[in-house]
Amino acid sequence: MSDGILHRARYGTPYLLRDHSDLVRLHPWSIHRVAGWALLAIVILTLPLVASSFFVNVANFVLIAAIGALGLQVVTGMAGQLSLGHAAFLATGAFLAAGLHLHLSVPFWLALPAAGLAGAALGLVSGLPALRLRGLYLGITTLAVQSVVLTVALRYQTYLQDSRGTGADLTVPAPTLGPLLIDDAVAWYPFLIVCTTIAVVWTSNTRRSVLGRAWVAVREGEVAAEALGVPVRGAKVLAFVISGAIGAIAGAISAYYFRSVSVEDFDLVVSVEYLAMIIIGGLGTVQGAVLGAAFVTATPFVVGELVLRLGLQPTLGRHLRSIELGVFAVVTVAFLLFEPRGLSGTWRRFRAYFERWPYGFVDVQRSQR
Amino acid sequence: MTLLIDILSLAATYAVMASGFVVVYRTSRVLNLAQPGFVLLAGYLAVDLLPDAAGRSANPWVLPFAVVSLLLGGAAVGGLVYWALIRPLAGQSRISLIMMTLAMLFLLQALTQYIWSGANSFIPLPGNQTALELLGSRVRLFDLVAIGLGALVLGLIGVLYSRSRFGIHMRAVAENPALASRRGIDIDRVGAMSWALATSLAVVSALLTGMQSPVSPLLIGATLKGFSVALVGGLDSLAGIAPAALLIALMEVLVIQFVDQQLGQTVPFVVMLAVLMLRPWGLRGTVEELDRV
Repeated sequence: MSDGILHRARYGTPYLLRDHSDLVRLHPWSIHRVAGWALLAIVILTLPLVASSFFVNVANFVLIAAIGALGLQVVTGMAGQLSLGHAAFLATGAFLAAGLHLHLSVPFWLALPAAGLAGAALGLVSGLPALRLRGLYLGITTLAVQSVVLTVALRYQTYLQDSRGTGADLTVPAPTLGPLLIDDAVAWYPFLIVCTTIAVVWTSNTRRSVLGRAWVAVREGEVAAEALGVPVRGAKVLAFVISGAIGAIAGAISAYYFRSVSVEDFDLVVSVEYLAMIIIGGLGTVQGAVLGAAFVTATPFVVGELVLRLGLQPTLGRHLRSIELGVFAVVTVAFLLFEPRGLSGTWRRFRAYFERWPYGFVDVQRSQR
Repeated sequence: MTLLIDILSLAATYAVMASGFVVVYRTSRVLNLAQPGFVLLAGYLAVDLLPDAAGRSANPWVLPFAVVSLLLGGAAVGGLVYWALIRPLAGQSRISLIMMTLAMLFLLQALTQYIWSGANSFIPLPGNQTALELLGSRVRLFDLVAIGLGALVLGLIGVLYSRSRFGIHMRAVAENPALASRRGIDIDRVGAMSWALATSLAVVSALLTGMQSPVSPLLIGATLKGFSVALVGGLDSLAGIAPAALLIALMEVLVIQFVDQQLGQTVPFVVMLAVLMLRPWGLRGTVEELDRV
C-alpha cells in the first residue's frame, strides 16, 4: 500500500485514484461484503445438490439468458443504443454452431469462439447505421437486421430439409470438453456457472475501463462526449460488435444445451424478452442483466408450477401460453411504473438500508434518468 | 380499373392504420407499438358486438349504434391508457417508453388469445357480397366504401388539425411541449386526446380490414405494415401519410399482381428500408426530428 502512495506522490497528487485497485483499497472488506459473497457462493455451490433436476434445468436457462442479456446490456444499457434485434445475434451463434457441426464436425470448444467471431461481424454490420441514425430509427434498422438473419436462417433450414431429408430442426450432439461429456442438467450447471462468471467479470471490468466510460458518456450526451474527446463513432460500433459476440456465444451455448436449433426460437418476442430483462433488472448495470434474466426466465416456470399446484390445470391448461405472456406483460408494466431503476435499484436500497441501519437512507439517484 | 381500385382501397386501409401511429407520435413522441394490439382487440369486439343479418333486420338502428359505441369505447380506453400507463413515465428514457408500448401489445395479445383463442372470424357487415358495375368492370362495394372512409378519415384529421382549437393545441404541443405548457395549454389533456384519437382510429382500421379479410391474430402483422407506411411518410407528419400509403399500396399490388404473392407481403418493409436509407426522416417528416429522437 505504501509503495502505491509513494508512486502516486511521485507522479502527481497523492489523492489521485489511478486504477481500480486504488478504488478497491478505499473500500476494505467489511463483514457485510464477506458475508454476502460467502452466501452467494454457498447458494451457487449447493444448488445442484439440493434442488431437483427440474430446478437445475431452470437455473441453466437463467444462466444462458444471463450471458445473452449481458450482451444486450452492453449496447442498450451502457452505450444507450436501442437494439431491438438481439435475437439475431443469438440465432447467428446457434445456427453457426449447428452448421459447423453438421458440415465440418467442428467440436464444441471451437464452435464457441467461432460463433463469437461471426456475432462480432454481424454486430459490425448492424452497428454501422448507428453512425447516422439515433434512438428509434436505429431500433428499426436493428429490427430489419433481425428479419434478414431469420430469413437467411429459414432458407438454410429448408435447404437442409430438402437436400438431406433431415427433420425440421438442426440437431447437435451432447458436447465434450476434453474428457468430460456434458450431457445432463447437473453436468451443464458448473460449465454454465463458469461461463456466466467470465461474462460477468469481463463486462464489469470493461464497464470500468476507458471503453466502458466512453459508452456511458455517449449514452448521457453524444455532443458532450464528442466535445470531451470521446471517440463516439468507435465506441458505438464497438458496443454493437461486443454485444453481437456475447449474444452469439450465448446462442451457440443454447444450441448445444437444447441439442436442436430452429428459427421459431429466435423471433421478435425473444428480442423483446431480452430488452425486458435488462429493463426489469436495471438499465446499464451488470447485476441488473443477471437479475433480470433470472426474473424473466423463471417467471413462466413459476406460473406453470402455480397453475399445477393450485389445481387449475383442467380449466387453464389450454390457455397457459397466453397466461404466461400476460403475466410477463403485466410484470413489465409494473416494473416500468413502480420501479424504473429495476431490480438492481431495489437491491441498492435494500443493501443500503441494512448497511446504514439505524440511519435512514435517501436514494439520491432515484430522481435521475 | 380493378387494379386501380385495389391499390386505392389498400392505400386507404394503410393510411388509416398509419395515422394511428402518427397522431400519437406527434404529440407525445411515443412510438405507439401497442396499436396493432388495439386493432386486433377492436376487430374481435366488432365480431362479437355487431349484429348479424337477423339482428339487423329486427332493428336497423343497432348497427350504427354498435359502431358508434365501439368508437367511443375505443376513445375512452385510449385516454385511460395514456393517463394510467404513459403519463407516469414522463421524463424517463425512450427505451422505457418503447418497452411500455411493447408490453401493452403483449398484454392485448395475451388477452385476445385468452378470450378468443386465435379464432378466425368475419365481422358481420351488410353488403358483403354486393358488387357494382363501374366503367365496364365489376367492383366490390366494400372497396369503394373503404376508399371513401379512408379519404374521409384523413380529411377529418386534417380539418381537426388545421381548423379546430384543439388541433392547434395539438400542433403547438408537437412543436414544443415546454413552450406550449407555458402558454397555458394542458399537455395532459392533449396527450390523452391524441391517444383516444389513435385508439378510435384503431377501431376504424379494424373495421376497414374486416371488410377485406377475417379477424385473426395475423392482423398484428398487417397493422405493422401501417407502421412502415407511417415511417415512410415521416413519423411526425400527417401530410406524408397519403403519399406514403399510395406509394406502398401501389408497389405491393403491382408486385402481387405481376411477380409473386409471397413477395408482395414484404414490399412495405423493403420500401421502408429503402426510404430509411435515403431519407431517414421520411418523405415529409422534419429533418431535425432525427436529432430529437
